[in-house]
Amino acid sequence: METDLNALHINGNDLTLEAVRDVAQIEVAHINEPRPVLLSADAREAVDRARAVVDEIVASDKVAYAITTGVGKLSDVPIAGDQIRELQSILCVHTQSV
Amino acid sequence: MMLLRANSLAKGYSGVRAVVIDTLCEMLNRSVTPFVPSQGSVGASGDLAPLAHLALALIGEGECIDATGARIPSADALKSAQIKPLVLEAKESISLINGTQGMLAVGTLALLAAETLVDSADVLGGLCCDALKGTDAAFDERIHKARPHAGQMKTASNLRKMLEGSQIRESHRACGRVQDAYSLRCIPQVHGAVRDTLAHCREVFETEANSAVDNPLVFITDAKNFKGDVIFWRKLSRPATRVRSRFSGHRPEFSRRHQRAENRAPGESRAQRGFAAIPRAKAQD
Repeated sequence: METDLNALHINGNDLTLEAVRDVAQIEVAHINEPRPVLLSADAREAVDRARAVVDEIVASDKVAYAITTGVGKLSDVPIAGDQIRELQSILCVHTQSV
Repeated sequence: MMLLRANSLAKGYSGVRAVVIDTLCEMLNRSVTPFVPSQGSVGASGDLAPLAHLALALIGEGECIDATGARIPSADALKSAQIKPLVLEAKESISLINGTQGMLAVGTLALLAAETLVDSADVLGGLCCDALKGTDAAFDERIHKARPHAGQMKTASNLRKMLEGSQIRESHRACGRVQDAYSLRCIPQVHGAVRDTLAHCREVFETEANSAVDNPLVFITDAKNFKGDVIFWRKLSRPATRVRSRFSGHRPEFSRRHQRAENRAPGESRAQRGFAAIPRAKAQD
């Protein structure tokens, strides 16, 4: 799939609305040939660098909104250790039922 | 919505692991489509409800739509596509659900359809001119250069091209009518205003599609030592919401619904409120 010339390499900077339509049509109506979507190599590096910052905050127990705290009105509640992982699924599950 | 979200996270300001983006791409590539209800978001802190349905599928919860359109458990959909459900780490949940990609996805497809429609409308306008034996004098380039709104110029140009060499036009050149009704001679001005609005939408949508929109964002200050600034901010959904309001004209109703949904205390300003995810969920419990 990596060698697919038709592949859409996303990097967060040059996605066109037409590409969105191409991918959406494949998903909804199977109109065109599948257009694989891949994370570009450059973007992967940027993503990894930003993630390292988040990991460092967690590892060193620094207070940072929505990383080691709750969100919204619970932003003054510290979250640490196993609670961090637990909070992730709580957010997904609760928010979808609003 | 999945592609737009993956692209937003790919900017590297949201602080998610690459595997989160890879899994979103894999789901797209293997036609694992999360079930997302059409109603449920009020667009306040972004499209929390639709994006949460997307995030649920990523972690193997909730439902997906299979090839026949039936709703099946996400865990089964991921398993048959040989995709491992994610276990989300710190910040990743909010990075997935805090964004504008629900309205942006719907808006993008609507915009592209509208752009086709406005071209079709020009063709119909040209046909109407001939069918009603109208004059093409009102589409003279000099008139539109004297009032050079981009959309108006484009439609006038389309009409001129369509009516050029028309035998019907030639057949009534000596009819003596000085000018036509507004509905014919103002086609460029009316269609042009629509074109200008769509052009504005395109600009907003293209920018939004390539934006990091969650909160907080991570900015690298010292990559070697994994140092960066994590900056908290608000008002993430404003540009897209503004365009939607312009289209729907439902802003007042939207605001009232929004207010009810958040159980805002009387007199409490927007600035006093926190991020909505947890308090809203609690209000439902």
